[in-house]
Amino acid sequence: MSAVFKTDETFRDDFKYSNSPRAIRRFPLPFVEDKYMYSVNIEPHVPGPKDSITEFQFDVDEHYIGECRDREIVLKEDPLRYQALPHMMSAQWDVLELLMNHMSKDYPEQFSLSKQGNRWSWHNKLLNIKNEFTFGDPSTLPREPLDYITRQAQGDFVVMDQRDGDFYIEAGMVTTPADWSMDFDMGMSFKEWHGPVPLAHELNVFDRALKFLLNLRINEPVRRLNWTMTVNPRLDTSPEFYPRWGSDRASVTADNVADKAHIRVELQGLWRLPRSNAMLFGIRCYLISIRELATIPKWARRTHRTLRDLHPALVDYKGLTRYRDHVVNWLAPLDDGSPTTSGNAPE
Amino acid sequence: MLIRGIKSKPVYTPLAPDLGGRTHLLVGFGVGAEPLTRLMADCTLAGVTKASRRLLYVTDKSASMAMHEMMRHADAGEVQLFKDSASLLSEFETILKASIMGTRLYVAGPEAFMGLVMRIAARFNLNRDEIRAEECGSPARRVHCIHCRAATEDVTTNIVQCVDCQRWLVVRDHYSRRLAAYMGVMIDAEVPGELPPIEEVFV
Ligand code: HEM
Repeated sequence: MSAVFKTDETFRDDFKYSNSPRAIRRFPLPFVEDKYMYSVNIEPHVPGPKDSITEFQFDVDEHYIGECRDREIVLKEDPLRYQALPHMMSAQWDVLELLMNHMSKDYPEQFSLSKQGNRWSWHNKLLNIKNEFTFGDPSTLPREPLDYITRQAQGDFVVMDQRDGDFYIEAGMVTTPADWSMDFDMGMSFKEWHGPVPLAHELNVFDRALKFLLNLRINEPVRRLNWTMTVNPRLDTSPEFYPRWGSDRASVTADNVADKAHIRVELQGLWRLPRSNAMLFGIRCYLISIRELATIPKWARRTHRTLRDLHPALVDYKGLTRYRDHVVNWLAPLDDGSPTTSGNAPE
Repeated sequence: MLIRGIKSKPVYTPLAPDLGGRTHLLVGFGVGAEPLTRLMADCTLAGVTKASRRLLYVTDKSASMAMHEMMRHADAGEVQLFKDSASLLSEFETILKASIMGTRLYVAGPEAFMGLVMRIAARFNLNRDEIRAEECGSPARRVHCIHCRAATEDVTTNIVQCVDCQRWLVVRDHYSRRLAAYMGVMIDAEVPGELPPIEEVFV
């Protein structure tokens, strides 16, 4: 069963957003046990079960149209959410190729790609976009290749150059960040851009992750889950626009918490790019309200315990201080203390 | 925001001669005069000629008159003194434009000043290993407003009003070399007017 694409979702103002029962069942709960701490949770990005979010390398789901539309709105107001240094052009084509190949192969009814040598023809039926272009010649596309293709994909994308045993952020499309700024972090190295993260440096998470990633090979992508919480189904929680969304955090009450508070999960993928040897980092975001999440009894119990016992430094860093207690109190009656099975499957 | 070791802050080390260079460009601000003087003496000992050394220096209230005089007579082939950092930076850029081949850069002074020097150097693709920097003097921060992108100079407090958009910003412990500044984020976005006490912290 494939997704039924919604056409009228919004991630701002009136927040017209919800998850179908199918979307809830495939939601990637990031808690594999009843507690959470940072770890080097990296695994091969191999195909998961049919209908799961990892069935394909780039998941396209029912929220596709609304997410692409929200990206356009952000870019209009703040064009610097897309940036690429001049020498990243070959990496840009790498990303365009990777995304077009996978999307057209995995979702043939929505996307089609045909190639005659360097003459490529791309048709995106969901957004009604059609272009013929010469692969490798930026003048034949309406925008830079990375800009062009990531406006047609869900999730943020960061491209890193690799040199001197480190990665440097040198291109990307970031319109749905969980409180980090690519504009500020441009040019930084792996440990520099991770600077603000508490505890993980001391746990050697970044040392080990960096070492592992430097050796990542072509065609062997990896993935990990990361999570935070967001008030309202808002995708653009950027520091740039924090003056607009900051007050959301103070708007949560015992009465509205189940619909306002959302768990936000990022399926993060990493791909070595073939021509440029650069690294693509994909941040595919999933939002679920506490009410939707609690329709799965195991998830309600587990999320209750995890949030209740979360390390104070993580509560602070993830910006949960003002409303965590409301979430925990709402979930508490749903937790009868019975054990949960390991892993994140619904049960 | 928890305050802890700043991972994105560059690591500065005491200046030492780099014998691989043909031209040694010394750039200093205020009490940066001290490490630069020490460096020039070390250069002479290591056989780096006086003629290959060029000094740009701007004095400020942190440096004494004596220091200023010391720099005027510094042991370098060419010495240029400036009244403010803006004119120094513009001369520095002109020098790099002319040639960077074989140039080694040594910078000394407060981070807020060195950041601006190194930002220009990075534009000319001087590699990190061709630049040496020693931090001394005021720990006041240059703060980049993440909302309107203006820079507020000489910040000594935990919270500061943005020179441009006037928002009250909390100074995060996150530093960008490209912007030569720390990140400033609106402090009372969640509850307008809710400001913690303002304290002198970068002094
Ligand atoms: C190589 C591509 C990666 C990029 C571009 C990236 C980027 C980022 C950024 C920008 C942040 C936010 C930092 C801030 O607060 O300003 C972050 C947070 C974090 N990253 Fe990464 N990251 C990458 C890979 C990884 C890997 C491989 C790991 C782990 C093993 C990791 C672990 C984390 C953790 C634990 C956080 C804190 C998240 C939270 O608590 O919300 N990252 N990352």
